Amino acid sequence: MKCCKVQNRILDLLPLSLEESLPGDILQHISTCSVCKSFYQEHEQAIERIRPTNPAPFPQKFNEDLMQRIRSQENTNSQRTAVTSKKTFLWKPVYVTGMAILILSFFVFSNPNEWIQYLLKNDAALSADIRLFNAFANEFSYSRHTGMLYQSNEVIFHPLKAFFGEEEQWYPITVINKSGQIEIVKIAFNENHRKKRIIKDESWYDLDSCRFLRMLSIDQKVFFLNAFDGKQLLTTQKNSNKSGFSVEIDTPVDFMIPQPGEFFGFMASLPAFFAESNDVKMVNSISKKQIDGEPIQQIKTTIKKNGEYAYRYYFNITPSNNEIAEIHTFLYRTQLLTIRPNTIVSENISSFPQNFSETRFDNDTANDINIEYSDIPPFSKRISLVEIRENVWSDYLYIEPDVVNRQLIEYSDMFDFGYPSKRAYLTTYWLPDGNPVILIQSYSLNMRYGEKIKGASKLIHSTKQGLNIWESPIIHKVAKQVSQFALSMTEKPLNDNIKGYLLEHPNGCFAYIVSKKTMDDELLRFLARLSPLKK
Amino acid sequence: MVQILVHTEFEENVISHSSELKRSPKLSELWHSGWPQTLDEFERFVNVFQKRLFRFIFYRLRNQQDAEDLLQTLFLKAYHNREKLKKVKSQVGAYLYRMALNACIDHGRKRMQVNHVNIDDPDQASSKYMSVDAGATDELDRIEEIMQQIPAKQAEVLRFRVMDDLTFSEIAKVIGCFETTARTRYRYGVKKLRQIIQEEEKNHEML
Repeated sequence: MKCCKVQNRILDLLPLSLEESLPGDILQHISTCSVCKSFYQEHEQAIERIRPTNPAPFPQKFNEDLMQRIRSQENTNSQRTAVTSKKTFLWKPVYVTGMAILILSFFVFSNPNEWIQYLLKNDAALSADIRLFNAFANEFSYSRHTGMLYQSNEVIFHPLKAFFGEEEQWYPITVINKSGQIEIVKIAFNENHRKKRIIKDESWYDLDSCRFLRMLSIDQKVFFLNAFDGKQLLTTQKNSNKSGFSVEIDTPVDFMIPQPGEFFGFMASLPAFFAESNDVKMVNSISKKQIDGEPIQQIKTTIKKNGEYAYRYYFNITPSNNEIAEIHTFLYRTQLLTIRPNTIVSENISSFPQNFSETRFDNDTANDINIEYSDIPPFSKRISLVEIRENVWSDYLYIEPDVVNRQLIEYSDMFDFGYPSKRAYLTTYWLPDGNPVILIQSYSLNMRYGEKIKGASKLIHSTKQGLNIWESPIIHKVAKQVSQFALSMTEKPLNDNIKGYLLEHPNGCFAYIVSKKTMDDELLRFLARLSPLKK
Repeated sequence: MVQILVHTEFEENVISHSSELKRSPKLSELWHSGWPQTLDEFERFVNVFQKRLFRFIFYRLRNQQDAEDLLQTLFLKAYHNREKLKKVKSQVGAYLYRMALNACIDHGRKRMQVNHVNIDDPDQASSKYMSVDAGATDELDRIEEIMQQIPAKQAEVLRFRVMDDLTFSEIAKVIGCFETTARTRYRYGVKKLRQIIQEEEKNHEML
């Protein structure tokens, strides 16, 4: 037996008060090995130094005293119980009568909001945002996809612990910037605050004329505004003037007015990204019961912060489970934000606010707030086919936009489809013959899995340009998974008869290809034309 | 191949030393059934654990009166919460030790606050060890002085193992870690202890 093993076992066996004796093999070893022998002696002596020799002075009659105490307490308790049960008996009818009066008065005097009833009962197959709209539409006697939608959230910034930095607590909102692009804006307080701060986030969507207005305020003092009145865009920008803010108005050069359905679908849903929160919970706003399940997607990335690498967490929240959700975000169990939908509709907001461009900004409130146009990855955002925003995405994507085949792109998105790629970029092309080709590129594929998959694949084609196509059962499995995602993203149907391949670019990058077609010359020609990938 | 055991003087010493020692029973050997529910059962339960738990608490508080009070409170708690503790079926002893450990920690916190208030009162400060046998206190103080030099987590496992005679699996259950973690902490703790003693001896020689 090796000395190091024996020494470890000796340490485990000491002090000998816990063992019958040293095992035979150890005894044999230490009788022949002087090193282990002295090791044993030294360590035994060391342990003896911390082993008390004087016995603990156990008090006499301890047991008797204790049992006496227990018995006397038992007697007192039984007497108390008897008295309490009498009291309960006496008070019970009073409680019952009180409750009955309360319930009756509730039915007689209360007038619960009808739209909540609609929301909870109407058409369970529809998503929460559509149901919310339906509820409002019914409330205001409008039909579906027309009329006015008002949404209001209270955003509670909980007091920050001293050891947290101000960067860790912010509220993200989606805005349309002055160039007509969709962007994420971070709303945060300039300094750490020790008491609760509440921001009111209100939105009006006029679905008839595709107008919208989003307004952020504290105590009815407005500090941020993003709006489109059908003619011009209006948005609050961070500026260098003394107030810290100004309102910039631009003519809508790039801004394409969406179709009513799209407009509503995009603006009224509740996608939210939270950085620095490593836990998010959703509860039903009415019942306060926790909502579990798929709606929350967590994406973890690594960032460099104060010279050190740290994790940053993003959440994509879509309350699609037909409930009005209250969202709570946490960092190491400390609550950062609560986003609470307003469930009460007041009559004075039933119409689209007029002359909102003349809204006065409160400079004092604005000075407290930091607005930052952020580079948060738009995981669930639909990209305009005309405007692929390379600048915002460049930090997060590993590809260049496909210039050659751009006209064939049906859909392009950043998404999380689980293992192995937590963040993947998917592009769907529809070839002229009507067959789909889905190209998936991801960081993990390039950095780790590509080479591994290649090792278990069969090379089926190499082009003159050095593009290799590999066939692998692993990718076929991926293809099945992807087809499910793609189904929900494209309007054209994809069936199960879909195949997957691994594409290896001459520059060493990999991509998955998923295609309904078998690999033929036409498909190969198409693949050869794909733009070079970038690591 | 026949192995020949060589009986040296050392080996014989070790064997005789080991056989002289009465092995401390394991916690699971002390109490087999679940958490006691009746008064009679509880009395037996107290009889089984009282001395070991008293030793455990006394070695940590180094005050006889405090240890006695704390142990009384602990057993009272164990009795009053017997309904809730029904679910503790197999690890009754370990659970009791855990309760005792938490009680000691709470007591330490309270004592720190009290000491802070009474720091200017010499009479009260000197009464700290009044009720304790002077020899026992000196020894415990000396041990504590050594323990202070060992990292806290390792020292904790050392105390459990050496002073309270708990096995690694019992220690793991009490402090809520894996058995291997407890074992590793113990090994490092013993090595550190050996270093401290060697340094002490060197210093002593130099003097």
